[in-house]
Amino acid sequence: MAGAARVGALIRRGAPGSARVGALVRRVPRAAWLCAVVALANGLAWSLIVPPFEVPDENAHYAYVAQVAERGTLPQPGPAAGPLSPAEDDTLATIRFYEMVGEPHNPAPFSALQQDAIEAVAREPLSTRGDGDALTATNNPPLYYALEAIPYKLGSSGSVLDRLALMRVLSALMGAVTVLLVYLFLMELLPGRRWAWSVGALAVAFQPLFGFMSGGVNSDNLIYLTAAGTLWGVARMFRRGLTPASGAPIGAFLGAGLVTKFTLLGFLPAAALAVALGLWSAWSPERNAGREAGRGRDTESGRGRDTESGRDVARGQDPGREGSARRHISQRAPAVRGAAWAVGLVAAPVLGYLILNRWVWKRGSVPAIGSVSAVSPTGQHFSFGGELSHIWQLFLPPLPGMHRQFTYLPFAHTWLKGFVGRFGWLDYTFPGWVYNAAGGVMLLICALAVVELVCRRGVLADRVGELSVYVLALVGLCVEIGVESYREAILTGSVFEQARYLLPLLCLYGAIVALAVRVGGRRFGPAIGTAIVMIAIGHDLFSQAITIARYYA
Amino acid sequence: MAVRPVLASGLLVLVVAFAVLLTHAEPRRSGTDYTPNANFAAKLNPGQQTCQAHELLPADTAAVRMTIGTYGAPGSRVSVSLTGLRGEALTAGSLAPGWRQGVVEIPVAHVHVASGDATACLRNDGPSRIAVAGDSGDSFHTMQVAGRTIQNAQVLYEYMRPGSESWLQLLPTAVYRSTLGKSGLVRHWAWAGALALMGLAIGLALRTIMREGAEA
Repeated sequence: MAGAARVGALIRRGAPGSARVGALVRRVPRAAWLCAVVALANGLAWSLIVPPFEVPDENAHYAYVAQVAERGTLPQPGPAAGPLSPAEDDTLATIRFYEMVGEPHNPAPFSALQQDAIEAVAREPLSTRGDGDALTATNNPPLYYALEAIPYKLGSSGSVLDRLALMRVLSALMGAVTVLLVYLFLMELLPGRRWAWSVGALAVAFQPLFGFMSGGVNSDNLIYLTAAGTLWGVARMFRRGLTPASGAPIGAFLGAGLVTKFTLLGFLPAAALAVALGLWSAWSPERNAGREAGRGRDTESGRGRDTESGRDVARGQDPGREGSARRHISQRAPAVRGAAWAVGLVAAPVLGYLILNRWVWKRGSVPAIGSVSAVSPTGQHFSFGGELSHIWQLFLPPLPGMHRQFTYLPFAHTWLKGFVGRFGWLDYTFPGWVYNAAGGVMLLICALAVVELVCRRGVLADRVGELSVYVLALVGLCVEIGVESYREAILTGSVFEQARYLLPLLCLYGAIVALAVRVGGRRFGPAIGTAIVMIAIGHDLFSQAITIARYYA
Repeated sequence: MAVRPVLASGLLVLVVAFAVLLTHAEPRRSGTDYTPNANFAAKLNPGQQTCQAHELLPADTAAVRMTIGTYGAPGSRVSVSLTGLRGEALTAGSLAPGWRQGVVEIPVAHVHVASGDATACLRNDGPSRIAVAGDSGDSFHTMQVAGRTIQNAQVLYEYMRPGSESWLQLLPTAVYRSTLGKSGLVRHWAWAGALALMGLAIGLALRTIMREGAEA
């Protein structure tokens, strides 16, 4: 809590210069760094366990980075998928990539004879330049790939596999920063019980799907980081008010996320609502007092002295209605500047990308967001009603009268099962009973979190605006995934959605865990937290065990 | 409520679970030809055989696992042989009559040294026809069935190690395999690195929650 207070004091002093950012970084609690190191170690372990290119679309993301690093340009969408670079294509063939993907019974190379062939390909002077196609990654914005070009270049004297190994290290680092941001988010969101922050962040650090993704080259890793950063910025803004120092991180992380992958468009309404509420709060002294009161009450309750109501605390501290009004009027200018920072830092990279994409890289306006023709090549018809129904059923059971969009229940089959564990190119899983057991544990943790929310309903009422932002982030992301899923179904008849697309909500996952821990109070909370972390560790270890069995047995 | 008993119980459960897992024994593969087990790729009348080239016969092979259909009849004798590039015998074996259709393991003479580019043949020595599973239609390979060349088809040969092995017994082999097909920067120490990193991650996590729990 002292760390949080110091961080808060630093932020309140003004806009973040580089010295202040440095001081801010130094004052992050030690436990937060430890959680990040845990995530880094876990991500690196996954990167060593999972064979090359066995993380979804890793071949495509590698090809994109190669295009950026080798030619300094972005991949071009073409009418049909062309060959990758000879170096990548031959490597994929010799490591038996095409035979392994989607074939859970086919192992990684098992013989020294295969290794000889792989090394022979690595020695050949094959071109590392492709024809400009990066398969499924082609339409993505370039930020992640520009960053990954650094390790790619560092490994330029090595083979394709050497470069990939170095690129995976950067992804693992992104995973570590993501967990650091989750910890900071929990600090802001749930002040008072610091062990709950650690448990929430460690639950994220050991989440197997997240660890698996952190160990591979995939732009989703930067999306997880930027999404966590955006939510941290939002939580911080709600705790401290909208100022340039609190508005800028929201815009910076969201802007960076949008030029990584358009999935983060789903966060845009939530971020807009957060900034709007920040402005409203600055214009409304009562709201501001309520926020301060809520903060005071949270802090008190954290010390086990939840006796005074928030508004009483606020009144006790307020020198008078007139003085309060003056103070809040003085908060309007920083709030407006904060909103401007947020909007500007979202708009600048996105506009820059759109301009470069169209006029420099000649890739059309926004290739990832295209309109869908009325009739698709699959013979299915696009309709707005059908799209709404598809989005609904992608996450919830169909309502009476709805035309069934799926032959299965995506909530259980895609999201729950995928979150518990479906690895590789979605080609290996746990035994069926594991999903039932995991579902029970998740239900219990959610129930504990709900109990905590009910117990703290007074605070919750004060923070209903903030809660709305997180709910909107969840809904926005689901709608974005649903739109992509529907378009993919119409255009190609294939299944788009995967559980990893929900990992931008890792902060909220950590928050649910932290809430569940808090319900135990000071007496039982640490024990509940320890149990949850042990379950997360076991889950992660068994995920790695089935990965070893799938590829090396 | 103290953190330590919960932590100790959790660790104990993990150790016991892994111990149970590691002692589970079953037949293990020495390798495969990577053919999908998609459909019946070859049908063999009595006395006919199917052969395919470019097989990688792995070391430590003592049986060949295949999926063979008998149209409901009891399985009759089938034999498998693997030969090298110059036609030399690498290994051979047969399955005595009486087996049931489905996944079968045909014992062969133990193979100590791996051979690339082997030719694998399965012969139907019985009186009734059989169907052999593999991939017909999508494969880029060719095979011979009763002397005729069949395009885009291949039979699945999975090569099995001797007897049954627990995960613990297989561990050295799994460790060796984990060094293959990876970057030269990491491949020789990847398994040890993963182990050390997970040890570090778990150690740091436990230390963090113990310290935080103590301060609570």
